[in-house]
Amino acid sequence: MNIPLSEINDMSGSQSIGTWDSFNVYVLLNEIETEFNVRFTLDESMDIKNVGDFKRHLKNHGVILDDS
Amino acid sequence: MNQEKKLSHYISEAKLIDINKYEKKLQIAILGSFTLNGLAEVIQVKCSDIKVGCTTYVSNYNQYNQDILNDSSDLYKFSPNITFLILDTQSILGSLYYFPYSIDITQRKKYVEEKLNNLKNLINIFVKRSNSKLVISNFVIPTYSPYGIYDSKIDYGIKEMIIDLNSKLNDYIKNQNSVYCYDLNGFVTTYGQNNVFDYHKYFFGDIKIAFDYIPSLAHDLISYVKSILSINKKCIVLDLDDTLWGGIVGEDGFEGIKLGPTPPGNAYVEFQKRLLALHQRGIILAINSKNNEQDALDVIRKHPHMILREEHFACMKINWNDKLANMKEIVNELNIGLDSIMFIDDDPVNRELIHTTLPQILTIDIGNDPVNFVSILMEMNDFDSLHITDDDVRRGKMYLEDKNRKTFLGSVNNLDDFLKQLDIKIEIKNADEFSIPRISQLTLKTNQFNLTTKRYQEEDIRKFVNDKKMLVECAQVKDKFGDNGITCVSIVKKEDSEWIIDTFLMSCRIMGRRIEDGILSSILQRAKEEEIKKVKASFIPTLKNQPIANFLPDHGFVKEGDYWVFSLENDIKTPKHLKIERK
Repeated sequence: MNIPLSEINDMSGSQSIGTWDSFNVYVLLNEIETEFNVRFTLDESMDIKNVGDFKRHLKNHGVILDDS
Repeated sequence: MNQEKKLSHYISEAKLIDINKYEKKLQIAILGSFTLNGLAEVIQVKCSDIKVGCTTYVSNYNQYNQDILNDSSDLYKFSPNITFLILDTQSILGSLYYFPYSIDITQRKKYVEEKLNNLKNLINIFVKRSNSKLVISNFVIPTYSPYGIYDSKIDYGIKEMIIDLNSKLNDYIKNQNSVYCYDLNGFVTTYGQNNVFDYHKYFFGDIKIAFDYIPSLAHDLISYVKSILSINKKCIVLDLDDTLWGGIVGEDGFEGIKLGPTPPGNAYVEFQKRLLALHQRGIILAINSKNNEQDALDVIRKHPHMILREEHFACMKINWNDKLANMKEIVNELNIGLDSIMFIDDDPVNRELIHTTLPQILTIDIGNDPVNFVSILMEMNDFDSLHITDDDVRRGKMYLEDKNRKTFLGSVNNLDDFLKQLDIKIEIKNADEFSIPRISQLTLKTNQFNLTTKRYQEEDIRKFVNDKKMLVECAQVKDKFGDNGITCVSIVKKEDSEWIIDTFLMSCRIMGRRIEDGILSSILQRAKEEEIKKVKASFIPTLKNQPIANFLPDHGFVKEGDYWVFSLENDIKTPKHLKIERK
């Protein structure tokens, strides 16, 4: 989505990122699944609206994230 | 094995491409019956990797019918060079995909017939309206049936319906000149239905080819791009030790190398078989190896499990020179362009040497485990061609004949004697259905002995052939060592009192035998017979066509304005060492 890392926070999502469209989000979701070796359920996938949502659902799958 | 990069990599890369920096340009349209997001970006990046500036048009979701049927659609405005039409089984079968046996066998047959006719109609309309090549995918054969294992006992069951549709579609396409069938079913079989099709993605976004496999699909489709632009490889230069056999013959000895029916020798045997099959299809093989020549030749000639023998190699450089020097000699002897060569070597140092000094050559990292050699070779899309001509198939043999010719040249005193004794016969013919693919191929591939370097697709040549004002001829060249096949092309525009040479080219394979003199004299002779006063030609210089730079002035053409002109009041010189027949 061509966003500098420094500008990304938990609230980053369709509201703040112009290129956050359904396709880009879906590519991101797919690669996060591969990276962390998890499978989101359909409900979880539909629920993800921003970076915070991704983190929340990853935690539900037992992924430990370094939030610092 | 899916060695592709991630889709996100391609999506970000695609944004950075500047197509203006590439000389070769291509317009690619993608039409699909389902979401193919990301495919266009991967194709753009893969085109950029081979120095092709590609612009894409992607039809709206499932709008392929409208795009093709509406003659003022955005598709036609885009005027593509290649159009990919990717269709899925579910959309063609509609509700029968779920309930195939809700109708009886007669209706099922009728249904497939109707769908086939719709597709034929789409193809015909598209071909009429567009100059683009059309690549249409076949249908993935369903693996599930509600009848389970009993499905194979059903007459014209769901699987048979699709098999039948595929086979009839393919039969139809076989006879269409600019339409090709892409084996999507084969693609899905290669990577596995459960990987390529993923219900999660399907329910979430109607995605029928998972993102992880879009790059692999693009890799397959790039075969068509490479073929159309003739950026394919003609020659594989191979290392010997740890490439064609395991171990080092100089150290392990004739009996010690790994090559034979037991592992790991069987992996090398299998690799050699796949290479031999490419040789039989017209890919030239050559050797570039640091070795004691006699040790290596003993293996090549006498080893019981060696598949590739001396006669399969157009050129063998086995010595202690560095591989760069050897490579340069191979290029000279075979007289082929650097960009049509692939180099396979297990040693990273040798690969680096060739890659940095001759970057046009494609160097392949084959790895150090022979288990992977075959799949690496089979996944390559560098040998594909939209048309494999008789000349292609005979190429390996022709290079062998050329080896004999060169030995003979060494045994005679001067070039004139050599040429006289070669017994060269040239048959000049008007282009016809059989020669059109080869003529197009020669215009696309010939760089050195090519006066104007105009590139023509088969469709272009066909148009010329049907145009009374154009004369398209090709020449087949034979001598006492063999048949060189169709190796010369001339295209002439006939005007009332003068002829203009649009294209005059000759394959580099037969350069140096003054065959070009014969072809030119034939054109001039023919013009004279038709009472033409002047034949005009131009030379368009490129980086590669230096060999033909002085051709026109050397043959009596005089510069007049933009053209070189031959006045037919002058004598036409016909070389004595050639026997020319015009058919």
